[in-house]
Order: sequence, then C-alpha cells, then structure tokens
Amino acid sequence: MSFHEKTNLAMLVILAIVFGGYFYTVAGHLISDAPPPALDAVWGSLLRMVLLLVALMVAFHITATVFAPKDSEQPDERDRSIEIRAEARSGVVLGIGIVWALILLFADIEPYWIAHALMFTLVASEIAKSVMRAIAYRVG
Amino acid sequence: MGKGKTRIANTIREQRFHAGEMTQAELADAVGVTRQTVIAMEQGRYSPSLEVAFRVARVFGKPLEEVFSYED
Repeated sequence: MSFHEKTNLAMLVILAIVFGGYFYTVAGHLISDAPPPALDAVWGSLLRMVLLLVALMVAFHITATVFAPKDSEQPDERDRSIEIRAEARSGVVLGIGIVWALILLFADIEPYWIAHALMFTLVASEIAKSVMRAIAYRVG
Repeated sequence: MGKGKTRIANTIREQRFHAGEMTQAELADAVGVTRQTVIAMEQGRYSPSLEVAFRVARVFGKPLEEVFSYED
C-alpha cells in the first residue's frame, strides 16, 4: 500500500470519527423538542473539531514518514490521476449539498441548521472523495 | 487511466525477468513512479502516460511496442 493510499485511508477514518461524533451530537438536537443552540455557541466546538482533525493528520503524517521515509515521496502520475477523478466525482456531492442548503435558506430554516447542512456537505464530499480514492487505488 | 482492466497490455513482468529478475521497486525507481504504480501497470489496472511508457521501455532497452500493445 503506497504512502498516499495509507494517508487517504487515515483521512477517511479520522474524518469519520471526528465529525461522526460531532454530527451525532447535532442529530440529537434535531430529534429533541428543544430549540437548537444559538449559532454563536457552535463556533467553539467547530473550531475544536477542525483543530483536532489537523492535529491528527499531522500526527499521522509524522509517524508514517518516520517509519517509512522512502514512501513519503511526491505523488506520481497515477496518484495525481486518481486525485483528479476523485475530486471531480465528489464535486457532485458538494453540488447537491449546496443546493440542499439553499433550499433550507429559502425555506426560512434557522441558521443553525443551514450552517450544519453546509458543514455536513463539506464533510460528506471529503468522505466521498476519500472513498473514491480508496476504490481507485484498489480497482484501477 | 480508467477503471478496471485497461486495453493496454504489457510485458513488464517478462521484461523484468529478462533483466535479471529486476524487482518492481528497482523498476519504479528507474522510471520515477511508486512501486504500487508498477504493480498496477503489470496487473493491467493502470495505463501509464506515454512519457512513463517510454521511460519503462527505455529501462529495458526495448522499443515501446515490445513492452506495450493495444488489445482489440
């Protein structure tokens, strides 16, 4: 398994764990009768999520580079081709999510849900991109 | 570069054998790609660019058409 493939799988797992936990909490607000928290109160936890994500990815990169320094080379043409295809296909998820957020906006939904719809869209498109990459590395 | 098996066949495995059982890692270093890319090419899961194809052929000292061919 190449360095870039390992990095991709690590990204997928980290995204799923970090944001899976976050959106689980958000889903709790969706099913409860209480009104959602104010949007201002959300920035702190979103910032923590992003910092945690970056810290985990940096930690993974450092560990992987220390244990296999030769593998951590520049991506070659196959890596770049896989990246371009994954990027193009995950763009569909991003597009659908943005339309969904716009519909919520025009339906006068609370900003809390619109912000989370956009956040969810970004995370879902990143996860879709990682899944596309993982499939491409295995299948061709 | 598409998905699944490509229609570009190659004799890389055979050429490596004739080159003193050159390893995939040695070929990858000589061509400037990762070992996984060499594996994918050998298994017919990846069609290299023309430039990489020429570099592979040059490593074996063979013309391009002896290493790569297009299947009908």
